[in-house]
Amino acid sequence: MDPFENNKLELEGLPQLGDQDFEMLPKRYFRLRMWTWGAIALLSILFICCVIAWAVMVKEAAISDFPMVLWIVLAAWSIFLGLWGVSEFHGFQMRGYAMRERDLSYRAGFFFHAYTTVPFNRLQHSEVSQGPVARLAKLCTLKLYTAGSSGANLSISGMDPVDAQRIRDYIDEHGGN
Amino acid sequence: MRSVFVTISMSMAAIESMLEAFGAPKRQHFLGVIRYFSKNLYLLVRSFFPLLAGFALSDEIRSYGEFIAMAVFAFVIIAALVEYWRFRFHVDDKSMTIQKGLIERETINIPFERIQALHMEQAPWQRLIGLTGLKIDTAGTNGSEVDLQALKLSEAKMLRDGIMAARSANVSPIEFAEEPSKSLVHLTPKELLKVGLTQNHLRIGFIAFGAIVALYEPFEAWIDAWLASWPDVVWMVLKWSWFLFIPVGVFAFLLFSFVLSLLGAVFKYYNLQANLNQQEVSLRGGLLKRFEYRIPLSKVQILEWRSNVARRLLGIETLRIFQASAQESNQSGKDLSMAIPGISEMASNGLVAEIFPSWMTSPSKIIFKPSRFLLYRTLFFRILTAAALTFTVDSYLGKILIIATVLPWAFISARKVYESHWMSVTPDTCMIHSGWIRKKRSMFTFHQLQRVVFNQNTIMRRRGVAHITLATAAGNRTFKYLNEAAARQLYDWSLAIIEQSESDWM
Repeated sequence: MDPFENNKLELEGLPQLGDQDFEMLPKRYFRLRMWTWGAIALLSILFICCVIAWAVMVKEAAISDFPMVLWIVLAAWSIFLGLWGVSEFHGFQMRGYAMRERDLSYRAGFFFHAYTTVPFNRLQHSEVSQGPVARLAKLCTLKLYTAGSSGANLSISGMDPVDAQRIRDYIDEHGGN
Repeated sequence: MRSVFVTISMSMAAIESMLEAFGAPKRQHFLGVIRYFSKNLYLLVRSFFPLLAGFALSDEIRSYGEFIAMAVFAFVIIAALVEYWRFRFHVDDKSMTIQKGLIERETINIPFERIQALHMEQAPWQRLIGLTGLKIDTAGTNGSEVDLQALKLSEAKMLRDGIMAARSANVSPIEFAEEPSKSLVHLTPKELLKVGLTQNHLRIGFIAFGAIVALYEPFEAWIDAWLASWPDVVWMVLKWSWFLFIPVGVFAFLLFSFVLSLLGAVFKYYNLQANLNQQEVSLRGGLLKRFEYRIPLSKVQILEWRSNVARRLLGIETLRIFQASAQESNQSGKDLSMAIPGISEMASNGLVAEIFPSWMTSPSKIIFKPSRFLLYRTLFFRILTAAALTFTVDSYLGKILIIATVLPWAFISARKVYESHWMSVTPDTCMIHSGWIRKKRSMFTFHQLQRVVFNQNTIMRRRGVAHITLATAAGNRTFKYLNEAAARQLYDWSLAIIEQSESDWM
């Protein structure tokens, strides 16, 4: 057991994690995400148009014959695409990491916003991973692991590999117990 | 002072006797072969099940059935003997070494300080032949745990006490003065009845019902044939009087669930004893399968109490003690925890005083209450449910009845949900309360936290509300719908404590 302490809970004057601490991820990560969204949106619309065209031209079905469910699914899909686009577009400013002396924080999400902080003295190990697309775009994912749950507890994708390596070096030097 | 010496010499004696008995490579009790035999047979049957089914169908092969069975048996017996012969273990004052392997030879070394917990378990087959199992949970990367299944009771005890003593001697040279262990819970038949009666009977009843339905499938043909053999008169009577059986059926179901869950409690918690001393919490009991668990106090991460209305009336709760699961990420996914049913408030307080000493003595606790957003949100969803329910009935009377009953319930329950969700905080410990009918409170320290998460969705952001999740090595606990300013304060406070603290988190 730790030595007995009984300090007053001083909530004022603590170091605060604020919006100003967060750094944005590189602009090319934003472009990559927008391109991904655009490609999926375009392909799905193209696919739907093809199906409808095929039904009308080849099968000679009237548009009014299409079942209601189809329209509902289409509407839901386009709403989803729209919301996804909005969250990608506006969400990027809300995506970022904050490196402080003793911890690393990451925040992300537009509709569901969350930020997580991992103190370096609780870190078990860190990992940098890079997929083929990320390699082309010169981006990487930094993962930090702490005890107690499976999987990475903090995973920052779309980082500049140089920055990621710098953070890892800093952790190796100053972090740990 | 004298008791300190006594303890040290006692623990030295425990280590020495362990070293004497297990210093040289040693095999388990010979009857452990039985376990290898049954394990291998089970594995064989399980992995070659389709093949076996094929054999059974083919007449030609079936005529050699005896020979094949004998060959398999011989093979399994030899494998079991070899496996038993190859499995050897010994200890020195720092670690335990195990050599094993049927074909490949494997040597496992377990340093005592990596051992998270030692459990003694005695299944019925072990009891029959007077043996006991010792399970060693380690904080390994691959969730490796070691199972010694065939030890004599005295051997298992010696090994366990020796390892515990050696570990505490290695980890912290300062010995605690031994106090006689305090009893947290001792379920006498009367207490056991209390715990058994206040269980959630319906849940168990539904599980059993599900099992029966699942069992019906393979025996469908038989049951149908049996039912068809009933005289027609019975069906005639049933056809006109089936509704009479509804109350009887409900009553039978309730009785069935009740008896089943009571029996379950008796088997599980028979003569349960939970004790607390300066170093660990121990729990033992069980009717058919006896168990003994120990959790060192320094490894405790979260204490969590749960209770339902009936248990609160009787003044008992169920306490679950969560232990840090592993040094690496826990891949097996199971959390190491120990449930102590039927604990009284006084015993709980005694435990808290031991594990989180500053909690009891802290003069002022800060109370965090959720935002009123929680109240409005709960109310909104309950009213929505009521509205949805009114569409399910056609008559106006029914609609009015539903509104008249559900609306007051919505208001009262939303109010209660809101009021029973709160958190009290001292500088280093916090307790999160939630639930109204089924209450739950969990307690942990800030310096044992691993990370902190703050999250909110768009609506919550607009209303200035957020969830905060505090993650320990034994799992996460979330306080929901806190005011954003308070959530940020708590966030910064937890981080400040984690980053300043020098003391071990596990």
